[in-house]
Amino acid sequence: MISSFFASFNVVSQCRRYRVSIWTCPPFLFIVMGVVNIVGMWVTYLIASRFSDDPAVAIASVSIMTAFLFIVGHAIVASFERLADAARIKSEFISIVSHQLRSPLSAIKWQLEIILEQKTTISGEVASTLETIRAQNERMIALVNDLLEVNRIEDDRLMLRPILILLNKFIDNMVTEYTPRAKNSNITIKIDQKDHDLWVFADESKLRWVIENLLDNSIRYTKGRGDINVRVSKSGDMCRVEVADSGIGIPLGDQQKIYSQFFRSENALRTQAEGTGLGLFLVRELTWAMGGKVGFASIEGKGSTFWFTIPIVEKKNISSKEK
Amino acid sequence: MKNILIIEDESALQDALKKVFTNEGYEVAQAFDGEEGIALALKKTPDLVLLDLVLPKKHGFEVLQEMKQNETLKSVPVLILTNLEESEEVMKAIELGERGYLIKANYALKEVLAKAKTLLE
Repeated sequence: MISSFFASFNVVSQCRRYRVSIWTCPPFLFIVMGVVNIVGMWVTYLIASRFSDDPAVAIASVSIMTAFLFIVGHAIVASFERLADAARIKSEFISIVSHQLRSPLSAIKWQLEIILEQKTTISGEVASTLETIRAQNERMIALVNDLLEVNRIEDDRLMLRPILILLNKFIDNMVTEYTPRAKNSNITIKIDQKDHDLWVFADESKLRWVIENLLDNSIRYTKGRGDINVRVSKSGDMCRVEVADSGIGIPLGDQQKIYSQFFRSENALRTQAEGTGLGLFLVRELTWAMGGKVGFASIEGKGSTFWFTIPIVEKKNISSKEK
Repeated sequence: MKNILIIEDESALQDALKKVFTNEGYEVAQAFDGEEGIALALKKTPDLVLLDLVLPKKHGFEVLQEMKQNETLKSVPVLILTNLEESEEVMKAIELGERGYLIKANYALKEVLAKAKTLLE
């Protein structure tokens, strides 16, 4: 704590982090302002005590010092504007680039879909190569989507389009979807629906995204080490979904950092070189946006259990049509 | 036979959409910019319009607006196919009365087709 207090005075390194020159760097300008303030008071005191019979002199010196403070204050505001501009340009840049990337990616996706539909005319080897291309293209699309989502969260522009969802069925479908992938890694996904008829009011694609990420992580970091258990239950006025694996786990020292953007723990990097470190950040942000919470328990080498909650919609509040 | 108008400037995407819808037995008309799109819509009165948003000559929103102001075209369902999904775009599309909004990169042709079929029913 003491070191972080002193670090806050290390203006040069702070300014380097902001990538602005020292004269346009807010922390430095604040120090300048403080110094001007202290010097100003002493000068005013000295002048006033020497010419104490004329208050106009004291007022004039205070006014001059105040004018100086105004100038420094103005420079501080201007530098904050520059930093805000830089953040805005970065976010627009990500948004434009990502959208531009999506165009060719969707063209590849659709054209490949058409080719892969004509299974009879392509040989097995070509088909499997095309399938690899398709999977890689999907990875790229997912990556662009993640970048866009992170960008939206940072700009406070996340938009949810909630609908009524029967959570039990939703999770069932997703587990079925993930079963072949898990099988390829010698993993069985077991599902345990402790409570039934759990309805939630959530954005379908965001909810899907959260569950996909938890299942995906479990499979990636469990490879050949056991099974995955998905539990769906009711906990007060919330639904709780748990994904428990017996994978590599998270080292104790890294457990506080796993929700940070771009963070990947040492053992995760060793097991799976690929990954952006955005997944759990997004899981947490999206769950929060839907009114829920996230958490985990993990022991390195033994496995991890990730959970999230989402508010239940009471049965009496659902019209018979939607049931 | 149902008539579908595809307004999309990217020819790779036009091709793919055309193939899928022709295979399903639909009659497909293609427009590569907004102006051509609205002209073809007026001429053919399609049963469904697949509309991209970022288009040369006339933006997709303008096309949508002009369709909504036209007596014969205002009841034609429009399925927006775009890669833009910032809240302003989605909100504007809803305001202008779109019937579906799909992000091209996130949907397979099969899913686009399924959505189109529900709009044609």
